[in-house]
Amino acid sequence: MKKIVLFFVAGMTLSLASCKKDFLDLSPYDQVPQEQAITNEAGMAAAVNGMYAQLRSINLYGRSLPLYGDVMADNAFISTTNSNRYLAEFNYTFISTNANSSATWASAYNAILRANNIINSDVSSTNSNQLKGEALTVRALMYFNLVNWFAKPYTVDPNADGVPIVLTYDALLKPSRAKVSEVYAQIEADLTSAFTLLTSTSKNSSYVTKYAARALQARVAQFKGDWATAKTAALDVVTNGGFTLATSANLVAYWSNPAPVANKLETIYEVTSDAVNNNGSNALSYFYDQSGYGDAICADDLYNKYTATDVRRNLFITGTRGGITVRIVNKYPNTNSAADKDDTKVIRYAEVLLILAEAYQRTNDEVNALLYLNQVAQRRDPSFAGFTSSGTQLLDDILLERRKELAFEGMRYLDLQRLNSDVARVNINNNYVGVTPVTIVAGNFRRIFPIPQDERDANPNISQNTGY
Amino acid sequence: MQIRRLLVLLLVICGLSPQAQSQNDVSGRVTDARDGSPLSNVSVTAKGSRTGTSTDPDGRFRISVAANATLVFSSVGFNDKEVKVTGASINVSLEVAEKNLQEVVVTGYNTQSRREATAALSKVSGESVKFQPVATFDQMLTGKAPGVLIQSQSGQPGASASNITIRGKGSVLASTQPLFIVDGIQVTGADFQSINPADIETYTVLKDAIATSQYGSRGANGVIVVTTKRGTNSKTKINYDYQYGVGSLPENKLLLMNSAEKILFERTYDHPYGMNFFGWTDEEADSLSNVNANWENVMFRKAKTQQHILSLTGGNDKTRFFISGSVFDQEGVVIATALKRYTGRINIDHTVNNLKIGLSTFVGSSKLTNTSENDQWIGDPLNGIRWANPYVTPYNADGTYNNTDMLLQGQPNGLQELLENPRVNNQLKAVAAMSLEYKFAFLKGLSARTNWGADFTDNSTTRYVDKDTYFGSQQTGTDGSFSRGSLKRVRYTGTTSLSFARQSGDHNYRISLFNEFIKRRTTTFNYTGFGLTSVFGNGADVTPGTPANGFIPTVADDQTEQSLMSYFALADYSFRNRYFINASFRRDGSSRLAEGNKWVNYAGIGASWLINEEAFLQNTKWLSELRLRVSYGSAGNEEVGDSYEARELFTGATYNGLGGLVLSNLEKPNLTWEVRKTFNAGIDFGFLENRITGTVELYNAITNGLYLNRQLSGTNGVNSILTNLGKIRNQGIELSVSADVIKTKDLTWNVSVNHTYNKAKVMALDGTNENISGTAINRVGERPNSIYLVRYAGVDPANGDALYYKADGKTTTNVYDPNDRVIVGTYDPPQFGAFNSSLSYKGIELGVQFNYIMGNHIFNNDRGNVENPAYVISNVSRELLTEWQQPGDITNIPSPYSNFELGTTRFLEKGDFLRLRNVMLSYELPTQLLERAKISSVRVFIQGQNLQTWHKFKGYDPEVASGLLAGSQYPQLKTFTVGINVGL
Repeated sequence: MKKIVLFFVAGMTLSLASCKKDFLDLSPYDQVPQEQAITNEAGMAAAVNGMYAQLRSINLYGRSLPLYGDVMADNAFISTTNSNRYLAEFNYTFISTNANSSATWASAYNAILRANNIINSDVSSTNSNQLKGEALTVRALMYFNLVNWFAKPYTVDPNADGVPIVLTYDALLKPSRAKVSEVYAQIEADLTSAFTLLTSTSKNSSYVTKYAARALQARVAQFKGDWATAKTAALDVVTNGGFTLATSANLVAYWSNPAPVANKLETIYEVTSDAVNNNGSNALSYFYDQSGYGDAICADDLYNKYTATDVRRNLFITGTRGGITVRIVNKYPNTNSAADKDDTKVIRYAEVLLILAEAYQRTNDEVNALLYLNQVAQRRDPSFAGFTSSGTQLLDDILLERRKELAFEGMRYLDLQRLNSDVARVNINNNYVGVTPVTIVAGNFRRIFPIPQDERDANPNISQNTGY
Repeated sequence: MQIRRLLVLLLVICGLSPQAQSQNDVSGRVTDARDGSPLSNVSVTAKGSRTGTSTDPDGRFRISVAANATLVFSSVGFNDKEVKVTGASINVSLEVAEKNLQEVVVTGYNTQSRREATAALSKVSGESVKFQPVATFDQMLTGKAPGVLIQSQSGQPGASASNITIRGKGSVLASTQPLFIVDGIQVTGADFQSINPADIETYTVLKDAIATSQYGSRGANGVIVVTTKRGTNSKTKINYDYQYGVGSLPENKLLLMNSAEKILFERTYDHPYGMNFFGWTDEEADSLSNVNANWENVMFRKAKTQQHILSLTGGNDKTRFFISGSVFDQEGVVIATALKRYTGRINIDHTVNNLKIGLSTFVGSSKLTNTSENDQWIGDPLNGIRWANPYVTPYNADGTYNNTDMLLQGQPNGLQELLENPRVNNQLKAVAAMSLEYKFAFLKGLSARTNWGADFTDNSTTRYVDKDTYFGSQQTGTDGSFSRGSLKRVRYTGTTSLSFARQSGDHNYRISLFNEFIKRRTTTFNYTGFGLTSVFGNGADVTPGTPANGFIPTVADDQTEQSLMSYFALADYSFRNRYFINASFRRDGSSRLAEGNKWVNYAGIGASWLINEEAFLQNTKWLSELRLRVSYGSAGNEEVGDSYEARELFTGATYNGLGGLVLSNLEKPNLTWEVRKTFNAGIDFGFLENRITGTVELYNAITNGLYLNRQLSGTNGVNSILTNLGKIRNQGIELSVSADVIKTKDLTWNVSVNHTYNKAKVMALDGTNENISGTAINRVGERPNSIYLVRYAGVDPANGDALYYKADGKTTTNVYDPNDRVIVGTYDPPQFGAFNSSLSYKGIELGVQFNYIMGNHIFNNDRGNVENPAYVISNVSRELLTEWQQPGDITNIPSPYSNFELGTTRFLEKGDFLRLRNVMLSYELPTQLLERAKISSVRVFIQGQNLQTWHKFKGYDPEVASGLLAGSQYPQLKTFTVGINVGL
């Protein structure tokens, strides 16, 4: 019996000896374990780049955000010859399982998770402040979009249900909705600390700078109706940001340039796509370009608002679709460019000037309001003598200039929300035979997206928007 | 010892030595009845005494017994034989045991006689199924083993492995495929296209926990152990098989419009796109109505299959070999799809004194050209067939591809997509194993064994996407693409064991201790180049990329590794050869689990009682076997998630041309394997000298720690996390009965039936009551993967709106509301089975096999695609001709103005079917005829596969493994085969 035992032991020992101790300790090849990820500046910088990449998602700035803003408003319509995309949004038939808005919700919170990982990391080094500032700005930008698309406008009811504020990852968290005002407070806090952490230089316009945070502060204040803050922030960008408007002659070239810029021309911050990393046929440009899906078309009503001498008219092509003469949006002309793809502007200098004009008008300084309004209007239309209006007419002029300047950049619908205005689709196209609702009154429950059904299934603490 | 010596001495002194007077020396030789080769280690005993010996390697024995004694010859794997001693020499030949207790069965890491085994297992001989005209061996087991559900969705050559479910799905997210072991080596189920089914000796399906617990973390879904043919101790035999077959599509039950109907529909039915949306004039309409594009004729064909197999087997008492080679050439029913396979095998066994060496080597090489299936993409050729308008022909008059439909309705030319974008997969597959077994001389019964082997796969895929095709226009740079991918996978398995077996009086026991290492490494490399010049028709067409032309190639490189280290012990004990106990214990450490949580333990125990050998039943002649078996134990399922699932990981992302990092996997420190605990009770019975035999098995299997994606609030930035959340129970009964209805010398008729009923239920979901994923729901108290849809209530005759039942099931509404979803069925078939008949008269044999599935549903998204009014610009279902058009219309197809909702029971169909799976008629030529030609046997056969399927599914075939048919179905074929088998 002793011999048997001896042999068992010998046999097993032999087997064991043949194996290294680390037989069960294997590491991934193309992924980094957490303990090696955001632990130094290089890792943190890489994580920031990863965070930016999420903004390129087709559910965010890659397509949906800028598209909703025009297709759900009065700027764009979806041709009857279409690829069956964004019809629910265009026709206002979406329900709580709506794929696009649910995906926007998930993608925005994913960007927030990526930002949180950076903001909450312990790295402290030369550039860590800058990197944290970028993450704070992106987090604020995401909350701004979430609260505007999924909750009532601040200007209508700051105490309405906003969206949950999540600042640290906890898998089991089932948060309830913060008030709209609380979400705005968080956005303002993030932008304020971002402004102090950031520097005013960056690799190029596809990265957030100090003045990008400032410009967003101005936009956020504008959406709150906090005109004093909007004015201060916008003026700071105008005075100290160093940005310039494109010349009339250069505007088309500016829009056809698919690459980020470093010369502070127009773009304050944009989300970049390039030849390799882009959304392909799911890109925003593909949805406007007639060699792509080309489903979304400029409404005649908007096109007709540009004067013949307005250089922005050159950002449209007249063509046909489904046998109908249409105005085709050409702000994103690089669908077929193999070398680079169109970027999505998040905020431009022209918008800051128009925020400033509106802030002056709202605070009864019409001289300054006209000054900044005309900076944009006369640059775009060199033959234009400039606005001289006052009172509500001046405000209407500013808002129309915003519509014309920021068309197909996703701001139109958000403006209508902020102003609590109806979406009035007039003169879409003479020959248009679509079944779309023509007027969607302010306060219609579908003027804000439903909280996604997935979220409601997983999170019993979250309330649904009225009507869904 | 002392006492016995004393006794003998005493007897000798008294002159009463019992051995002296009537003892005879008997000697002889024992051979195998099949080929006359000598059998060693056959136990030879005198009946009623303890005198016994065993045969030597030449099959010879010598024994002294009483003059009138009866000798009993027994050997595992052979029927016992009793011979009365009549002279000094006895030569005996033993028949191979089949269907009785001496039959050898694989019970996991060991083999046992069926008498000793307590496990629930099904054994299928390779010979009985090897001629079925299917490319992969897993399909051959269909209907052969109770409890084993095999669903083969695809009839495409080289289609990936069938869905095999043993005793119900014990998992929702993890794989439910069994573990495959070939000659002791774990092999990947997906590569069966390269394995030659004719090399296989037996398939053993291990179903209960005493068997599966031996495989620990890999055993929960059951195990299919395959042994390949080995050489025999005989003169060399040569075998040649040839077969030729022709396959065709089964009947299509999803009918679309023909040209006249489609034109009529476009021009006279109201649509949101406007009536006559293409604006056909009367003349155009007339001429188009007469076009018969006949896409089926250009894209489908009669698919021919040919196979040659040559094998040699033979050897002597020291060395035995089995060598085989095969060529398999199968066309697909869709043109341009095909599989060519070449295989070779050498199995060698050699014995030197106490050392046995075994070698199994297999190499297979295959070339597969296929097309994508079961998706709903417009570029998919098989969708092109369905969706192209019937008045649009594949070719223009000048022979070029007709792309009218692309311009008209956005549907590319499916034929062009198929022919111009070839997908080629080359696979090189090798499975090799070597074993050494040593019997220690100093202690009888002690042996050591080690078996090391590897499963090696090298897949090389090329995909040429022509720049003029639709898919080509979607590539980067819109000028097509060429990609080449390489996957290399090596998984080695090394098992070392020490075993001790001993018989002592009524007690018989064996203990084995094992140690096993399994490691898998997969490396992949993919390259895609763009900007094809269409000069070479291959990768040389790629234009080198520059930032200016944008044809920048993409390259991906990856490697994953996983390892498993195990210690385990198996013990068998029997008492009086009637009471048996098997036990197992295994401890598995895995690289995939988090530190501190890597090791998981499994155990199993089984017992059986051979009741009919009890004294009180000895004289019950009609009862030839009655046995009760019980087992209980646990096995795990590690087939979930990524190789590094438990770790928090970040992966690369690029922004502004610079590398970045993004969270790719959440940390799961507590992740462990699903553990399935199975209780099994079985009764084996045999009546009338085993002319009627059968087995009834009952099982109750509970999966604990069920993997589910815990739905997280999306505000976390992730929607779900893999968690050991739930508990599923599978209970079932398996019944199999086989009867030799007629058993005469010339005429035999055997009928067998098997049926399985499996009842699955979600027991717990850790706090939450339900977990919804797509159209499936897991809800406590219901079947897992229940179908969760809004019930369709037909069409409102007044306005043509689609109506749905509210959740209460009574009221109807025209508003689709996800809150009205209810459980309406299950995707997983609860009942299935087969019946076989085998009739043989002299050399003629007729085998017939039916199989069936009952009680499941299929979501027919394929039909949804062609009943969706948004897609009327392409071809649609003929049913739409009955579309609601005006108030008062009574129909099941809503008005095109009614919101189209896919997620309703409108597209849910019954999955029940009965299939005439296989009919085979063969004739074995009389040996007298062949002797002069020095041929030992010739057999010719004709066979029909899937000749008829009775079902109500609106499509080609109801065998849809996942229960969800997305589109582009490539169904199993109806095949006729003729063949010949020659033995030299």
